[in-house]
Amino acid sequence: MFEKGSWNPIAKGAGPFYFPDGKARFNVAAYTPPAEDVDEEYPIILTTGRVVSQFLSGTQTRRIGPLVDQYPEPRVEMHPRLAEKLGIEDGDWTAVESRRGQITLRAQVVTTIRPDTIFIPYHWAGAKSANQLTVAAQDPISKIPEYKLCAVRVKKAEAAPDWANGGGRA
Amino acid sequence: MAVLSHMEFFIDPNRCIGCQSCVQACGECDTHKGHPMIHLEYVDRAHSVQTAPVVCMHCDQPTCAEVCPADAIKRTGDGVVQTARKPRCVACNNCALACPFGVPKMKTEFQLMMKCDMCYDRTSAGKKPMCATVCPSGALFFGARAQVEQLRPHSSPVNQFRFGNQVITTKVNMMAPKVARAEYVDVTAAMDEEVIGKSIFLNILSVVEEG
Repeated sequence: MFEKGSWNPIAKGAGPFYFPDGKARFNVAAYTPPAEDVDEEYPIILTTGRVVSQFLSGTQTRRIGPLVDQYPEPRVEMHPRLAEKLGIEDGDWTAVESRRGQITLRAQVVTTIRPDTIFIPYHWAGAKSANQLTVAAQDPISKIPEYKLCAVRVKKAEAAPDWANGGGRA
Repeated sequence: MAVLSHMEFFIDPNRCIGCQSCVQACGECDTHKGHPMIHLEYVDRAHSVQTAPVVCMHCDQPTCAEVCPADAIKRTGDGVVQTARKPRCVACNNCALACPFGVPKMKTEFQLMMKCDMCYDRTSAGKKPMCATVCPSGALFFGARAQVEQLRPHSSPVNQFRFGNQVITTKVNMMAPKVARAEYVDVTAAMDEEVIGKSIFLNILSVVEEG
């Protein structure tokens, strides 16, 4: 886009965009369903993402005490409506299972998420890794992994995971 | 040296994005290394991602100083309420319990109360407080009143707070939306306020009734 007031040689001054008429173009993208959609067996959408105090795999940010204190371990964010349906309360150990693996984390009940979706941050490895659940699908062109969406089922965990008791891989 | 009278602190919690930059910058200061004096609070994490930075409001009549049995908290002539004098502080925790804003922190390991002193080492030398220099969204702003009026045309600074019958006037200003026509912030009203959905209402902003 050419700056306002500057001469656009492509449009010969007709507009600010890089087209003969100086107008912008919308590129239409057809909707592609996810590689794995929810079904009766795995009815909840899992999305992964980041928390403010951690960066990527945490090799830098988990060396810094105050940043670790802000968010010491991953939590499963879920809406109160979903939590009520599953009999889970804030802070409860929650087992999340997909076709590829399972993870047990504490629940964080918040209304800032959709009731059909749960969120787990991806900054941890081993038994705390959200990628035990995610699919291996990629975008065919860009090869970006489809970490933002897969199908899971959620229930209240019967026991705390090994890493919470000082055992297992952390 | 004193804080220049035309330089004021303006807090705009609406603009806070919860990045914790202020907390980290505050904690790096050599005068209290590793112990941030600013608080960054979630307003109600279950219902909103809204955060709010809390610095010392520097009250005209500081409750913390009024309840101090050892007279360890001093307010300098420029209106800054200083952190506890170490030789005097008896770590009784009165100030931490009394402050309506919840600012003083009791450091039991040092037998000392520590709180935000508006970076007195910096502000008395003509610099800005550390938190205001690092805040990326302008939630913490230190400067002239004319500057903030230009930057925030839809908000006006308020420096009166009500906690039940206690009325507090502060050196630090809080930005309130002009549509609320607020003359003071009724903090106790906020405690009873029900959160609906993701919004936080402005019932806490009030206008003094006439007559």
